[in-house]
Amino acid sequence: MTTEETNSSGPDPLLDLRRIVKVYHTPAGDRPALKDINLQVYPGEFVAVVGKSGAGKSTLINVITGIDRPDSGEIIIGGTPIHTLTEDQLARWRGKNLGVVFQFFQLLPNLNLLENISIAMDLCDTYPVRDHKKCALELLDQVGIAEHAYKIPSKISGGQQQRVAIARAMANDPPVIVADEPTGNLDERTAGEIFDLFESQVEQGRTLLVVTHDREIAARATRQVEITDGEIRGLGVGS
Amino acid sequence: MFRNKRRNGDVQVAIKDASLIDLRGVSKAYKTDAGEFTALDGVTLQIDQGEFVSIVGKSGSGKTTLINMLTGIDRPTGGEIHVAGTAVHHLNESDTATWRGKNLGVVFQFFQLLPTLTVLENVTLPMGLCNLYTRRERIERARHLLELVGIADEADKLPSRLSGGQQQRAAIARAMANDPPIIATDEPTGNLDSHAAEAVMQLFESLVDQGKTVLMVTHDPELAERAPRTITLANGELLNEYLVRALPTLPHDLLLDATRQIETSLFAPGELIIEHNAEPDKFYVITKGDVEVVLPTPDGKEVLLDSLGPGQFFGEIALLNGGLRTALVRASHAPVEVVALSKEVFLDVIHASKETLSELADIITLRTNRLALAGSSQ
Amino acid sequence: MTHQNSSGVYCGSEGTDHGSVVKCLISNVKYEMHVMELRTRWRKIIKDIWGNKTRSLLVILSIAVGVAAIGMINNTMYMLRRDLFGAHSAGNPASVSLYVSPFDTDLASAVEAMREVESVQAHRTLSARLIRVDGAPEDIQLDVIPDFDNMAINQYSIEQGTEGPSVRKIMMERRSAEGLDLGIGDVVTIETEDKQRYSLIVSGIVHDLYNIPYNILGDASAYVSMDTLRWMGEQPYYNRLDVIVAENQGDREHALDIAAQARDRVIETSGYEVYRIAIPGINSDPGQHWAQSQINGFVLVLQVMSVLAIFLSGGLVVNSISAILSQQIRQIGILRSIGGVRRQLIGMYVANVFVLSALGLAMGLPLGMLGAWWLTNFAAGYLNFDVTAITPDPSVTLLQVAVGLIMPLVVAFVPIFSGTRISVYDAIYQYGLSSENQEGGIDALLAKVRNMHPPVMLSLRNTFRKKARLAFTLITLTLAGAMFMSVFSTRASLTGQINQIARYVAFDASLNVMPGLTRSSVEREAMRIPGVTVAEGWVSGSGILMRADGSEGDEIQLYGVPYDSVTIDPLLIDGRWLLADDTNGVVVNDDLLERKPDTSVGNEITVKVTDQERTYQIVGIVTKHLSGPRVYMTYETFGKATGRANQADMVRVRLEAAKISSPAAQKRLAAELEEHFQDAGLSKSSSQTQSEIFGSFTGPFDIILMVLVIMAGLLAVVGGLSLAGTMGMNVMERTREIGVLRAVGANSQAVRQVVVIEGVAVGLLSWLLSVAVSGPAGVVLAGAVVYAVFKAPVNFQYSFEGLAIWLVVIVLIGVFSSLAPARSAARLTVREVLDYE
Repeated sequence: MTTEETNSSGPDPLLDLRRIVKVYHTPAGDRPALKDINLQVYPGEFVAVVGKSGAGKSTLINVITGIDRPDSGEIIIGGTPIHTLTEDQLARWRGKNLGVVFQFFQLLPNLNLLENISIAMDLCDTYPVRDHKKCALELLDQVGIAEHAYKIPSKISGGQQQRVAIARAMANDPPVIVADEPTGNLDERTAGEIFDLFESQVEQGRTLLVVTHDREIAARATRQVEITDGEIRGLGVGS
Repeated sequence: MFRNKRRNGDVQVAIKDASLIDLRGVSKAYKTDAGEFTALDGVTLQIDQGEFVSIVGKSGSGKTTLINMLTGIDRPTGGEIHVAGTAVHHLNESDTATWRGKNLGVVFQFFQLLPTLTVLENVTLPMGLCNLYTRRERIERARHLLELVGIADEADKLPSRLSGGQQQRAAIARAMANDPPIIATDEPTGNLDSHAAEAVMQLFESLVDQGKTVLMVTHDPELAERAPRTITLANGELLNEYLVRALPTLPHDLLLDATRQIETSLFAPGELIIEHNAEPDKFYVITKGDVEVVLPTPDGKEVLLDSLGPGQFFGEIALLNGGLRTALVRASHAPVEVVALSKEVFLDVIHASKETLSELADIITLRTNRLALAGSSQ
Repeated sequence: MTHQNSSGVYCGSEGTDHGSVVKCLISNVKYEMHVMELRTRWRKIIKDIWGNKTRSLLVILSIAVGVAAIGMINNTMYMLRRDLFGAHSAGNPASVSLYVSPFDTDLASAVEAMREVESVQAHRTLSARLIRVDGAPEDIQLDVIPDFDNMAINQYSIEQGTEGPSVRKIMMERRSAEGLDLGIGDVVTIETEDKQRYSLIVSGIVHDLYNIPYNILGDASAYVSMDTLRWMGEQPYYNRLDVIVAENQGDREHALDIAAQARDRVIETSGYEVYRIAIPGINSDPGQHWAQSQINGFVLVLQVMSVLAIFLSGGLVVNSISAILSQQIRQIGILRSIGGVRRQLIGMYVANVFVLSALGLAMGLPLGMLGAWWLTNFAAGYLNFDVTAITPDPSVTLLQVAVGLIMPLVVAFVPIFSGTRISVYDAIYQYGLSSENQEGGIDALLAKVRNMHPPVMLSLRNTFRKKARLAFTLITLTLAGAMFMSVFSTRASLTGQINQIARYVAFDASLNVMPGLTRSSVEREAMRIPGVTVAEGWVSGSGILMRADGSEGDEIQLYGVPYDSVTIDPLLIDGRWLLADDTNGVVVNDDLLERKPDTSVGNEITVKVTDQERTYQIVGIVTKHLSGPRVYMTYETFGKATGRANQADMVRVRLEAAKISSPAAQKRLAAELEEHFQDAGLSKSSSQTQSEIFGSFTGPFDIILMVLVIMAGLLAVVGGLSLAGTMGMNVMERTREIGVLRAVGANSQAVRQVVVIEGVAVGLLSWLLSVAVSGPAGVVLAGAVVYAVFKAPVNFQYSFEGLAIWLVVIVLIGVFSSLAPARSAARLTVREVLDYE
């Protein structure tokens, strides 16, 4: 998609980042993490954000998910200017509109897999309580680990935990899923399986944004966005 | 010839030519509820004093596990690890810590300086823990080290007041505190911007110049290239370094297959390796020594086509293009060690990677041109 | 493990038998119950509580301790009030007693006729000896009343046996019976003053709430009829009149006033003599139980302790909740990232605290009741009353619920509020090796202390990292330490107080002699006893203190004493002691000041002695010594007022002039003194030793002190738990640091050291604070206890012993509470803690 196409009757971007700036103020001086980022992601895209460590990929993801706030600029996701929301509003918005997958899975250790999914449903009240268990089981089935539903995260492998994390991200059926180095802690084969999952999600119409330092894996996305020293070099608006 | 020979009556049990770091058949297996998971499988390698080695591999290849073995942070489930003369795999947690304090400096990706101590105190800490030097000496030495890494002015500040790059430099100074022979680091620039990363890499290089042995785990190929030697792991196994050097574009799983199927051969100086016009049966990569590639002339003389060393390959032309051996290859003036792949394995592996194939094709073109030139000059 | 049933499985298909239909129905119900589950967020709370049993148990226990303490102390008080004080009031307690020369029931009726008097009861009390089976004599008080069926005042009840003893029968008070191993039907031998022995049969066991029981007093109590007395050769008269006043029954002054009126208008006008007027009990008010003020004082102290326990348990709760939240920070971040808003999070953790509180309450309520049962029964046994029912006071239960449920919620609110405020970013990414605020003054101070041995430096800096947490732990430990030291100071003060009083009875033994003897003969006789080096004859009489307006005041005692007496070592508040040539100068004690507050050195007092008013000059005032208002004067001065200058009423002897002898030696001396004088026909009384006098005091003191020490010990335990919890939390948050330490060469000992030194540092810091607080706290506690027991202000003595002991204790607490976390810290492998890179 070129800029000309977006200006005409093309679909609006689902994620719209404009002039995002983020500077970290440390006692040792200011460190610019994002310098004037402009990025549009359209519905159904599978975007990989690549770059060296320290280039700003994680900061970008955190800004998109609202976990971190930009110093200036706008972030409009699904029509909502999330940079104007309060912490609580962000949390509520995130639950319904954006699924987050972390590098280190971040599952709740005391709950079993089923409960790790159903708590997302519980907090957002997307389904009636008596359906939680059924829906959670279905999600676990989709990611292929329904048979471990009653185990706690420490009893399953890293790859399986990441699947649960993905299932949780899908719990409230959000249109966008954002993942920060989702395969960073997994071996090659498992990483491939996770990406198969991602691709199947995209096929079902979800929009996916993945941060990764692994070029081979990034190549499986429909579009790659490269960040170097806080700036997007080329590929910003689709190739 | 003098390898591993102990003289009787010698008080010193030090083995001549023994490596600083010696791993033999090291394995690490985890029992998870999902089954047994092998992180490392039969890793054998030696690293000598003064080497700068990068350890690379994909996520989950076992590179972090490997360096954890070397630093004693993790313990193998099989095999032996000898570092600086000590059988590290035998030590318990506490003794390992003590040994590590004196022999190994560790630099972490996230710096891991203690936040309640000043930079200077962070550097004197290891000295205090290992009871080295007097108190005044420690302070002097720490200031000196901080100067070496270029942050002498920050000595009395708390780590939180330093930038990432400065913190990492402080961490390097700390690693040097007890003057250990080995520095081990895992993704040292992972949290730094490009400028700071460069400064840190230069520091490491200067340490190597001073005779330290530096081991660096990284996933960044550019960084890895700055180390003269690269160890590659794939799925917990060590890839043959020279194979990797020879065929860098080959994907790791293929390299792993190849590594598993190589045969090692030794050739005496001047010994024939490939005979001219023979049936091609193997692909060779040199691991030690030099070989001469010559084209015998009809008049009994020979034209020297090429001289190849460790990490370079030969014997591919006939295998790929078909036909007989195009040249003669023999060992040079020193003993030569090669690893060889059989024709079937070679062809399987090569054809599985388009990129390698095309690269090989380019090299073949180069070589055949040289051949033609040499031949036509007759 | 997946659920097999789906909802709505039909259970009644054709051909199925009843059994399987029932099974099917049951599993359907189970499924429905399973499906009607809690929302996941509550399941999380339950699993969090179960998953961290140690911490949860700590919170539950802290709440239970506070709840139990309140329950135990307050329910005991409730039962005491109901069963001891209530029963006491119900039996018509006397307002005042008059000790009169022998009288008959007509006099009693006459006094009763006074309109200011509600009722009277005549008693005959007689000291005698009970000769045990083995021949050993026991002191026994016999009590006779006119009509056992018509007891008006201080009603005792007959538990076993006949109604009222007949001739030659004796009823024993139940504690005396127990102590002397007597039962109904046993024969006892009573020896009267004239050494006649009589055998009486025990016909009844009495429960007398109004006399100090045998186990405390040491004297037995028994009840006989006047006929029996006559049979025993005694004259049939009464010698004590108990009176209940008509109005202002609790007013001490009023009661004494009415008694004085009774004496003046009725008794003495009828020709009798009143020897003494006294309000029953030890420093009690009219109508109060004899030990009421002591019990009140004791209970007050316990209540203070229970309040303290609440504070401490509150502190523990805060610490533990903070710890729970610290552990949960990462999870809070996760919950917020998947849609949880603050309100929901707060709700979850409030529910968490609520569940723990409910469990703590469930544990504390029965524990408190158990404690109340034990304490009440103990008191009942000691004070000789009956417990009617072990029931809780509803208002106490309400208080317990408030403390158990509301207090934790209130104190937990702050940590929950601030803990849930954390942003997702901070929760997930900054947790662990985060840089807390290091800019405080303390940190700057510590920064100057540099380059010491690394583990020590690390420990010291670490101590101050989490300032709020440190503050809470310090408060708990400081309170515990201050309490501990205060208890020791109280003990020192009490002991000091007793020693002070002991100065006024600085003899080994004393004996009352028969009236009319000369002092020189008495002293000479005493000196004849082998070993005696000091013998002083003292003479005494009573007088009336005259008020400024000429009206009569209280009765006071006058003492003629040697000006150079050895058996009294007076502590002067003001002025001086007597001099040889004091003819008009007298020394009064501080007790007298209570009756006549305007007394001071240089003033005059007027005393009416044998109907003559005499005015003296006060030359000195000595401290209170629990013997009522006294005037000390030289023999000559006394003689001038009473004409008995050379007489003696008592002799006070010592074995050695330099020091007081041991209790055993005193006892021997007392027996000899008694025998000697009785044989010589000079005395009919029994002798007293100094240690006996104090025995009745030190008994209750020791109990009070023991309870205080136990509570102080409990506080130490609570303090230790708090510190252990804090250290555990600190270690858990610093696992990465420990990994780093290991990575740079710290062996297990060094790792342990870092933790233990921190624990000890916190302990020592709290010790310093405790010392600062222990002064004022000690004054308050000692003051309360001493006043409760002595009704006198405390002469505060700070105990440095307590200081030193607590120093040792706190260091031990610091070490031991850190050991477990230290060990677990050392056990962590580097890989485990640095895994999270």
